[in-house]
Amino acid sequence: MATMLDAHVNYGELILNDRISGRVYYDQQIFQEEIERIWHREWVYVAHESEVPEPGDYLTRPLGLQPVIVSRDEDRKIHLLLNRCMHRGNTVCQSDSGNSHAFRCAYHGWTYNNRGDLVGVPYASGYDTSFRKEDFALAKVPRVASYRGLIFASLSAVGPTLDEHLGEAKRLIDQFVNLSPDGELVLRSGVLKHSYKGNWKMALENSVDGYHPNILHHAAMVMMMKGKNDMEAVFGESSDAMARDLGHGVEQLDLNPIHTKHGGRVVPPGWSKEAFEQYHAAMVRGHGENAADKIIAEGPPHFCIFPNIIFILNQFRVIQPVSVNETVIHYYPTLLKGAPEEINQRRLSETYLIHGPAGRVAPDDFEAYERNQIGFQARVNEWLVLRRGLHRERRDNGSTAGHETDETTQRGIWRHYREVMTR
Amino acid sequence: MPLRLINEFAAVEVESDETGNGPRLVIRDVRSGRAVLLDPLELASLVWVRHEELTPFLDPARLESRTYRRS
Repeated sequence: MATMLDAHVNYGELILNDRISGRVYYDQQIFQEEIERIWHREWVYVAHESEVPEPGDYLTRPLGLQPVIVSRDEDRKIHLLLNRCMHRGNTVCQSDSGNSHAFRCAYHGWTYNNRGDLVGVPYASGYDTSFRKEDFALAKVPRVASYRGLIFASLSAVGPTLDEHLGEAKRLIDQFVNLSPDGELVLRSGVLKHSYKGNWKMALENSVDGYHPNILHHAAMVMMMKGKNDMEAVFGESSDAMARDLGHGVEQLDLNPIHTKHGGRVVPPGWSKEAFEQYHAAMVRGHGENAADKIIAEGPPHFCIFPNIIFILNQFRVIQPVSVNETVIHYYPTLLKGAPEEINQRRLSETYLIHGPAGRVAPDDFEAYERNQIGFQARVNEWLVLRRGLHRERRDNGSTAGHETDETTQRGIWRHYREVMTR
Repeated sequence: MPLRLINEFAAVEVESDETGNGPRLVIRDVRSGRAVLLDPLELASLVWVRHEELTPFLDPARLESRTYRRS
């Protein structure tokens, strides 16, 4: 008989505290189990409420590998529906986004309102009296919840609440969103999509890897620091920044020690003095003077929430697994409601200059992910080493903390992963 | 020139019509070619409608004799 896949993957043997096996990045069975146990069970970020601002607005998105519709009804309630006609299983919506209070399947015309109720079917006399429309509503995602406009969903009817899942991440989301004078983000500027031939977990780990920026992104760092010679102070050994594992797969590169060095009234690079003054005044109106100075000084937090959303600079990055060795990353620039136009324009241009197809940073990362996936084909010694900083890790302020260049955040991701996969 | 509104579910043309004794709005479904003319009072009344009250009009069974069975 031909060799069969192991019926049981022993995650405890593949994921140790200081190293992991490369098998977790290429094994088909592990990928299938991740889809079931993480993507189709845990809380996953789906969309931002500002992407469906008007009644009738809808989006189509994947939730793990399952297609869903995010719609806003005329009472402004948001619904997450499975994008699968109850008749023969076609997707009923095809566009990435649109506005419609009803969705008609193009195959046989079954028509649903944007709450998912079946409105009617063509040639209805072909169905007998036992056919009840209410039995054929589009399926709903079992659990949906929002925090500060971020919509998360779980395909499992039971499990921890979103509140429990987010834990410490709520404080960091607040820090990110409160940069808006009105306390609201606006995601209405489109999206950059990059696909790469590599496993989804590389992008998550890399997002909070403070060891690589000065090396992989050396050219970008030189350009962005404009010869100020402080590369080492931000991402080098002399940096005051920290890597923090906050538990539950919430991992942070804590740049506050660097950002707050200069107080809250320093004009960020690239902003005009006038725009900064307008912004500062709006922030004081929105948050009060002390809070405004603190929020501005700290700037945007740099962190990820397992498994699929990352907050860096001005954007959300959202990870979409396609297969064990194919992934799509979505970069959504976020605008600050109530901020001067110049500042929001600056946020937009930073997104495409840094993360666009010819950006200064993102293309390096994609090259690294694809080299990883090729490297994993070498299987004489499969271990990846994650021991950096293990000897100097400590508890600090409710988190496990290390130096910014330490692999504290990666170890945090893998601890959480192992816990979820063996639950 | 009519105004065209298109999404993935339908395509319609909308314009004003002056062939009667007073102005009306024409809505033409591009797919079936069928059109409806609505006078200002009908249109003014429509602003009070809830989308769910339009649901019966969206039932494809209602359109069979007019669209699907059209020869």
